[in-house]
Amino acid sequence: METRKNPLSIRIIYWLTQISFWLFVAVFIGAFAFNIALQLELLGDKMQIHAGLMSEVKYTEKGSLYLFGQNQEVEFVEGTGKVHFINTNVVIAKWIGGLMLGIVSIFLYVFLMFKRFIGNVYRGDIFERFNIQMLQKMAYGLAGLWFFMIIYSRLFYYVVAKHIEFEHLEITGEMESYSYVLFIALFLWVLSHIFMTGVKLKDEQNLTV
Amino acid sequence: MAIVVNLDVMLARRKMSLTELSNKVGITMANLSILKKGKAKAIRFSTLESLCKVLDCQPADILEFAPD
Repeated sequence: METRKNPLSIRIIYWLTQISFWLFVAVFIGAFAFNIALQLELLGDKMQIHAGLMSEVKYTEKGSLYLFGQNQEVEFVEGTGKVHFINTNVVIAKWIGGLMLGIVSIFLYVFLMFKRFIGNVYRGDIFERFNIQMLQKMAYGLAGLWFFMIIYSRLFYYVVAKHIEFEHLEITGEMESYSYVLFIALFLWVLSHIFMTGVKLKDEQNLTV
Repeated sequence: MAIVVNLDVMLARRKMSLTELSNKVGITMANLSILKKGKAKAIRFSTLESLCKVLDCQPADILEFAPD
């Protein structure tokens, strides 16, 4: 019997997905346990929390650059960063923890669908109805993730970041649109339709005598 | 479907079993069964040729157009 050997690319992505998925599951379990402890107020109110600042920052301090024998005045205009909540109040920590768990949960769902899809491809089951479902679920999951991230970043800016005051730093209202996430979701949606055609052709091929 | 496969009729006329036909034509029983039950979406010219040779008939003896 002829044994089927997968192309190197499929083998690489399969094993990378397997390893990174289980690592992510471990992270998710940690995050989940952390959140439970947070919601039950078991961790006290001296938490050191880092939250991603999803809007751009501008450093108002000017600097100098010596380049090609010339002195050049420079200014750092666009950057991103994280806000470190020092000795975080438990109410704030609960909100941040809950929102982050939401993002991580949606990402885990999308990752699980991807793992199942890649697993099927690895086994040689490519044009299957199950794969179409996986692709559609991934697309919807990513669209949901995009929406959640948009809401989270806007909420974080208007509720938190806008009210933070620094001496040499200005947090601008320019926020990322995360359009690449939506683009990947749309691409996966299109791919699911291509797979639908593939399944139809395969069915016809199987019923051709 | 508008195309009717009369393979069972031809087999009965030639007093041949599906297994025998499968062995002579070189098509699996599963595929011949799909054809016989009218579930096939398409038939290859090579398959039709083999069937006609073994059953000593014309394509029209196997396939028939019946308007819905």
